[in-house]
Amino acid sequence: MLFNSLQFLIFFMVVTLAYFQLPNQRARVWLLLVASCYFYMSFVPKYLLILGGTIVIDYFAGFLIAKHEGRARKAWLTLSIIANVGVLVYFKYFDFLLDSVAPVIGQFFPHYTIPYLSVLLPIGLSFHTFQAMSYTIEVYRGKQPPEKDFTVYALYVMFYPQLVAGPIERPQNILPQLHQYQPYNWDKIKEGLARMLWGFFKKVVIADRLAIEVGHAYNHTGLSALSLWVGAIFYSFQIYCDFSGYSDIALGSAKVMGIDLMENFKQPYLSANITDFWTRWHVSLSSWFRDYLYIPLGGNRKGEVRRKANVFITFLLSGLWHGANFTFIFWGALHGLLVTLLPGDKNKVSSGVTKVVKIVLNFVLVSICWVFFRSPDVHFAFRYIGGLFNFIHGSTTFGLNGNELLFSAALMAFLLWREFRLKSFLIQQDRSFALYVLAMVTACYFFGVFGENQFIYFQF
Amino acid sequence: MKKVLSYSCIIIGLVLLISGTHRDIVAYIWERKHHHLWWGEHQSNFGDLSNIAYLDDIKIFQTPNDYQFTPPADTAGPKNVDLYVFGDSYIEDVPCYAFAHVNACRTGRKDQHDLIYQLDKAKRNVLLIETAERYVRSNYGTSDIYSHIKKDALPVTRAKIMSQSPVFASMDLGLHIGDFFNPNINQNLEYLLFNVNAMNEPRLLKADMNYYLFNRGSGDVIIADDGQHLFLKETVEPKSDYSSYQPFSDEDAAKWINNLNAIYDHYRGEGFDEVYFAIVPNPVSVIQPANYNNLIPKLQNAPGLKMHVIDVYSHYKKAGNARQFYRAGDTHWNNNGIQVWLELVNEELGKVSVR
Repeated sequence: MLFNSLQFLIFFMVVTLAYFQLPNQRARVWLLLVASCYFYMSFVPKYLLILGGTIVIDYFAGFLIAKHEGRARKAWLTLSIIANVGVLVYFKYFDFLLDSVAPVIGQFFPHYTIPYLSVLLPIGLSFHTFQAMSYTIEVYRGKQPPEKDFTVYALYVMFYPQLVAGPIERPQNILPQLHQYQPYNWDKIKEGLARMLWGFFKKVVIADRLAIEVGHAYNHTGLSALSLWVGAIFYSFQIYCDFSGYSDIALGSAKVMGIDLMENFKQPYLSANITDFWTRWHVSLSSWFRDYLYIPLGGNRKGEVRRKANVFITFLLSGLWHGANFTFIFWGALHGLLVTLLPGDKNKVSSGVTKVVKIVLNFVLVSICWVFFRSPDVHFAFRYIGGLFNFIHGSTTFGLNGNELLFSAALMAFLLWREFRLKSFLIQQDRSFALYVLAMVTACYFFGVFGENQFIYFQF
Repeated sequence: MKKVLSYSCIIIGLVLLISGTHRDIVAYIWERKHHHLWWGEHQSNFGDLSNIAYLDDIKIFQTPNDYQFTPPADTAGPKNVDLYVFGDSYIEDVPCYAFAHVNACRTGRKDQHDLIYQLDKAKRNVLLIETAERYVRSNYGTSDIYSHIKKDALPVTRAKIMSQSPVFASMDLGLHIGDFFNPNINQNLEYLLFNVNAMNEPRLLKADMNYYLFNRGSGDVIIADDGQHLFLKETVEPKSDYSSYQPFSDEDAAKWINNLNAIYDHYRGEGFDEVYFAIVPNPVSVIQPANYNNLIPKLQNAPGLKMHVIDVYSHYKKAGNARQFYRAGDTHWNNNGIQVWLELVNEELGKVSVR
């Protein structure tokens, strides 16, 4: 079920209203669990069995890890991680691995048919697998007691607002909230709804409009540098509005029910350097990699060379996490190199103009890296990046007409202004809130681009 | 009061979700609304694409159906052809009397009613398979055509249901998991909730605004580069299997030719004297051919193809301005386009009748 669909709007209304009619938390947990199952099954029903299987494994693994000490404790954690990563590798990376070794196999066994799985990737697999692993790791570290209530644990993994594209939550944040009865709070409801509407606006009005221009730039050959730059810059905003729009809807819909999810974006395109960018972009994933990979690898505790190696490995795996394609590995590696090689200047305070220049340069750098993310293969990405700097050849055409290009630029400026100036979504006065709802619904309807466009991050 | 309102909304929401996902309920409502028995729906006579895109106001796209059929002028020769025509919406309006040399004719339409044949050995039995170009890959990549063009009669009940409810092919009282997770639920909900007269004005306003300000159609409809024609988006998007711009390699062509030859052999083996294949070009293939994948010429001109083809594509190309054969606001051809096709078909029927 896509957030930007009628089915979701009706589903959300029914679930939220029923949620506030239920007298106790136990009933609410059951309601949310059933609703989350329905939400997940609306993509591919049978994949609920896979999700259910890993939930059962991790639930019992939590107890076994907590019960044992020493090597047995580690063994249970390892077993749980193998089960989770195994499912991920099987569905997401198996065909990619086969594809990578196929040329070698073909040389030695020319008549051998490669046994590709060709199965559809369960939606959001990378997200809920990582969320499940954060539970068992936290139990292993002794920072989280094992959850006794199976339904609460299942809901921790399956909570529908963040099930298929995050934020990737930590048990310490969510589990206590799922045990606590959240009273009806009109301010939280208003805040949640306002945030959801802003998320819808970013998705249907901005991201899906920019997608038309981006599609044009990436589907046509022989374009000029100008057309390709417009495509690259629009894609930076498209992916931001698409993914952060999803996160806004997720955080907003949870907030309506009184549940606070972690922030996933902190105005990443206002970063002055690439290290800063990664403290603001997809925060729940970057902090996951920091806590469960970078620090266990040694972090910055074993010298500068080792630190840089750890950073690079972390970014490489972060790229691979996004998808089974060399484009994502390149994208991750590129960011790894940039973070390790470029100065972070964390403590330097830049003046106004210098800061703006740094922000612009950093944005351009990030936009060039996104070319790998958007391209179907690495060769295409290199060709596209080459085109960005070929100022002599190519035809200048666009997927949007002049009016819509200007309108898109205005929307991007409005986005930056709105998120920079107005940090809160709570509108105290009911009349102002009603006007805001009316304005956003009208804007989404009249300026929205509709056509069942899936969120980009659903594929991961 | 709040409680009553809450429960009312919950019940209405659940009813909507169930209605949107249950095929039989949607079929029932579709039937009612389609016949204007309830609260109406948007209906434009200017073309299916004008209708989908709510661009009824735009004069260039106001192209009503102008088909006119008369018996063919040249009827010399025997009327000894039993013609079996299996096709799609392009030829659904063509009456049997428009075909030459025909003793009897039967029609079938994909996804609506099968074509049932009973061959009379005393007559010349001709099978004519027509398809819009966009369906070639999906419908002729496999041999499921055999289940739609067949000798034995269908049970009356199933045939009756299918003709009454074309979109939802069969009713099944058993519940399956898929019944609760209908992939078309959003289209169904939109149809149930918003395809009403009251919603037409804002939709027309939005469509006009998109057209005049941004020169864009709706999500499913694309405006031609010269602004004079509407195209179905799926025939233009290179990623779609229905697209005229999706690459169609020689290997692809060889695969489809094998399938078409198997179909030809099958029906010739069944006793048909001749089997014809007619691909109607997507409007975009001939009106905006710069990136055309050449699917039709690759199939039609393949030396290994056994089927005889009704080649309207070449005629449209030769004529120069291909726009004269299509309705600007519709996926279909206009009277000029269909008459060219009928002339070619009748020419072939003339040859068969004297063979």
